[in-house]
Amino acid sequence: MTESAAPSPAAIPMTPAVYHILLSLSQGDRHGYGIMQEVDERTNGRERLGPGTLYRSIKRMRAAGLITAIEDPEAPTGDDDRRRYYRISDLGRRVVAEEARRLADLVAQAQKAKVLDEPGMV
Amino acid sequence: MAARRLSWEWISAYAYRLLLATYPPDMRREYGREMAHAFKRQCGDDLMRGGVRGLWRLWRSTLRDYVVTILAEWRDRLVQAWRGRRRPKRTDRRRLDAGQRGIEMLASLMSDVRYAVRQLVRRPGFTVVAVATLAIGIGANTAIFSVVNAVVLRPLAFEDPDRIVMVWENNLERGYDRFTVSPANFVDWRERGDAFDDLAAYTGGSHTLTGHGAPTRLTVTFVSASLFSVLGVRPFLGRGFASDENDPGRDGVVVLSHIVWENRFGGDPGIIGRTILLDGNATEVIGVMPPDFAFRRQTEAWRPLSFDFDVSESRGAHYLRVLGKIKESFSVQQAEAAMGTLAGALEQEYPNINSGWGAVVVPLHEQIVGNVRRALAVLFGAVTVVLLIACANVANLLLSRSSSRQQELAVRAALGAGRRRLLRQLLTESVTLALVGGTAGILLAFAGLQVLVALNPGNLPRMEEIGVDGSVLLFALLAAILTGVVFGLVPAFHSSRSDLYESLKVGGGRTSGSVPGHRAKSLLVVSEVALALILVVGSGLLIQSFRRLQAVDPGFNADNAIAMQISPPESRYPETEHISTFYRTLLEQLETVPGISSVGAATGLPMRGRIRFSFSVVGRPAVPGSQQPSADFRTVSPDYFRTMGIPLLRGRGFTSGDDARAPSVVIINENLARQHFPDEEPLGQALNISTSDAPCPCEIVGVVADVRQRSLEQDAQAGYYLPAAQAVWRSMVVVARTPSNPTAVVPAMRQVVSAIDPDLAVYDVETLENRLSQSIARPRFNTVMLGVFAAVALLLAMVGIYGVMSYAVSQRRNELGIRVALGARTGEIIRLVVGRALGLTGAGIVIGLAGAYGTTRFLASMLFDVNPLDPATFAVVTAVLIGVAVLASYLPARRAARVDPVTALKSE
Repeated sequence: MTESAAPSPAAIPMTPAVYHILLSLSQGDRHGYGIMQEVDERTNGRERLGPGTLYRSIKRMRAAGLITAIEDPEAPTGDDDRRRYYRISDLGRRVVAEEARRLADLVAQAQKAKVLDEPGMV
Repeated sequence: MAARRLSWEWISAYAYRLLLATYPPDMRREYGREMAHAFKRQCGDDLMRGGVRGLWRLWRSTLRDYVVTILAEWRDRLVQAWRGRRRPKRTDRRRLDAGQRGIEMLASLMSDVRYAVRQLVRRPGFTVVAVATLAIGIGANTAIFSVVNAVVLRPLAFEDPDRIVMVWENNLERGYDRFTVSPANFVDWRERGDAFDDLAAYTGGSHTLTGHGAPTRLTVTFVSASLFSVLGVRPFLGRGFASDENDPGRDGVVVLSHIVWENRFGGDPGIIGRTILLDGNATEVIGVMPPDFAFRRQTEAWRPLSFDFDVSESRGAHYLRVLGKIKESFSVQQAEAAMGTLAGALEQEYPNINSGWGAVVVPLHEQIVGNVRRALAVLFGAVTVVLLIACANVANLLLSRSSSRQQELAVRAALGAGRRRLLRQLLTESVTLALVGGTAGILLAFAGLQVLVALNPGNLPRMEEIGVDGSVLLFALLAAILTGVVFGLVPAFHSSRSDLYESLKVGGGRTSGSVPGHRAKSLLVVSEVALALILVVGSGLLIQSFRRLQAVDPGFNADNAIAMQISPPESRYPETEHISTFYRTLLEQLETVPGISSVGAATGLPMRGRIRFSFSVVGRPAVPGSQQPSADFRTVSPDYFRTMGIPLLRGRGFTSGDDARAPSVVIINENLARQHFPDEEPLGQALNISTSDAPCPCEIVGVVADVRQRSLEQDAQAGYYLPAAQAVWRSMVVVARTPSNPTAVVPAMRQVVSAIDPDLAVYDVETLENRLSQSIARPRFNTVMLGVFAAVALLLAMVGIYGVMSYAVSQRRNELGIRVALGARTGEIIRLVVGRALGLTGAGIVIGLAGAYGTTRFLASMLFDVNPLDPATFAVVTAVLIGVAVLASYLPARRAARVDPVTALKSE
């Protein structure tokens, strides 16, 4: 997949977990637990990623080229503290933006259909 | 605290690593460490934020996450493998990566399971019997485990439950190992005890609530303000008690239980600050307890405990229960040692009244479940035995079946299946069978629990917490898998080992020689009989004990009598004369109610606690206060003895003339007469009784027969009765005797009460028969439960013997045919078969008797008046098992006797 290629249609629509992970990484590189924490805080605990969901998503996202893994050069090599950071790729950025636009569009349609009580509340 | 959180975290992390091991190897290799690390950090966070409860929530969501992702991961691998479809040759094996091997194993497991299910479906008869047997075994275990789990295993729902203890006084000279505490001693403990964060005292009582519909009696617990903080529980609404609310005059506040708040006040959130009438006194509602608050569950309202007397004078009146929270730096033993030292100091300071009194510290959990632990352990042992017998039966079934499957297995072996492969498949089959049985067992346990709760195990603590939850299901799952392995192992080894060539040659038909698995089957029957015998002996002992308990004469006539409690409040009946007049009027009017033949009143009826006061015989040398004898105390109305059917042995009963103006009199029971007047005439002597309510000295005017006051198990103790008109008590139980159904007069009795005082609550209405039967509810529960399990065990053993004998008969058809052809008579053939069954049973009985001899002593504390080695029980049970063996083998024997020699020999 080249940089100029259109966002992979297979990645859209995406699962909420993938969406949240991409959003989280769009703010900067994080390790797995950091992603969990950030998502938890950002959604006020409404969205909590379990380790299984997180790493299954990470595995698939790496395979799809949405994110890459970077070994932390400063991390100690001890067993428990092994940390690997994840970084969003340009493709990942475009895909998450595309998904956000899609979602915004969906919300706009809902507003037009007046299914939301207060149009301002999105 | 820190140490405990750390260990919770460690255990969780460890458990999660075990789960991780089940992910596909490539996933595990790439992300396992990171996943474990992330989970561990989450554990730490959630423990900090929500304690153990937070951790529990995390586990629930993580398990969901685990199940979803592991299924998805493995499904991905299967799909990949299916798409690849390239079955590697054996030589490629080494080069296969671990993931591929995992997929292969999973695929072959799936095919084993499918095959197992096909096998089960193909033989519905076998499957139904096996599944039903397993369901009974696993279901009984699951039901009893859920009781054990709720009552014993689950920690109490208080903050730091391990540090909460009961503190009792004890007096070993008098045989009191856990005795209630006197207010003066409690105050000293609280001030001087340094092992506790805090101590709280409480005592029971009741109030009549008026002004909200019909007057109702509320069960009240009077507590130190610190009680709620010791338990670490905050009110649901409002606040708990402030410490100055324990002072007399400032105690006009109440905290309601959640149930009363909902039922009586419609769950009104504006209740806080409102005033209600308790015993006619305006009392402010300051709080409502949470719905799941499980300390003294019967409590409907909490009031501050206040002492409106000089506390230092109350060292001899033991009536408080004391709860404490041990300091973090102290262990229970250290706290008890500290309390022992303190009690010793108090003994020195108050030698007259405190000598002999020590202190004992009992963890609250131990206090609540201590005396049911043994019974539950026995029941759990019983269901384990039932499960083992069920295992033996199913193993037998599998063995019988495996000999008819020899050919199939031989074919598979000939096609290249190794022994391990066959073994694995057979085990898969038995575990599959066990899982189906386990599922049925869980359903059975659900139903069984309803029955069990309905049986009312007799104030079993924490009964309301019993239910099927995650740990119960986990237990059932483990029990099923273990069961499958246990009963599958023997037959599996047998089948996989048997001679390939022989099997193919004989063609799976019947052989006349030794049969594979024959010895194993005999062994299974022997152990089944032995296990059943142990269980039936245990149950027999409990039945004996229960029958003797029922036959005990309580000392009063419980038939056709009804009791109700009344308590005229101080606000409207301030003086003793008011109370006396009230009860005299009430009893007079009740006597005229049609259907009541006599009526009496007393401060308390038998089988529901008792009050003891010390006393001395007038004219005998004085003894120090702490060594004075004490006896059960009751004040009673003149007709009480006649109404209760307690015989008067000597002298006279009370009359209406024994009132406040007449000389003080007392009636003693036979036991007191025997203990204190062994060679003298008690009539005419006098007692001094140490309660301010009793005008003393009192002349002994009569002797009545003994009554078992505490329970049927406990012998009657020394006791005395005072006339209600001379020692006036506010709260009395009115008891009425009727010629027939006693409940029919209840409405009329209530009417009489409300005609005299419409604001009086009538409560604890109960027939004496019911009271008596309630008092033996727990032994009845144990007896019924163990009886049911023993019956099931016996039935399973019978099925087992029947199965083995009919199988043996079918295997020996040729031989039996030859015997018949040679002129053996029916009786001889029957004797042959039944004799064989009796041989096996006999061996089982011998082993079982030895086992019972070793185990029944665990029952000793549950037995009343029965020796755990009661020879009659052992003999009867042995006879029963022999009878069962004869019965179970008779049918196969009859079939054997009818063998047609021609048909039998033709098949040779």
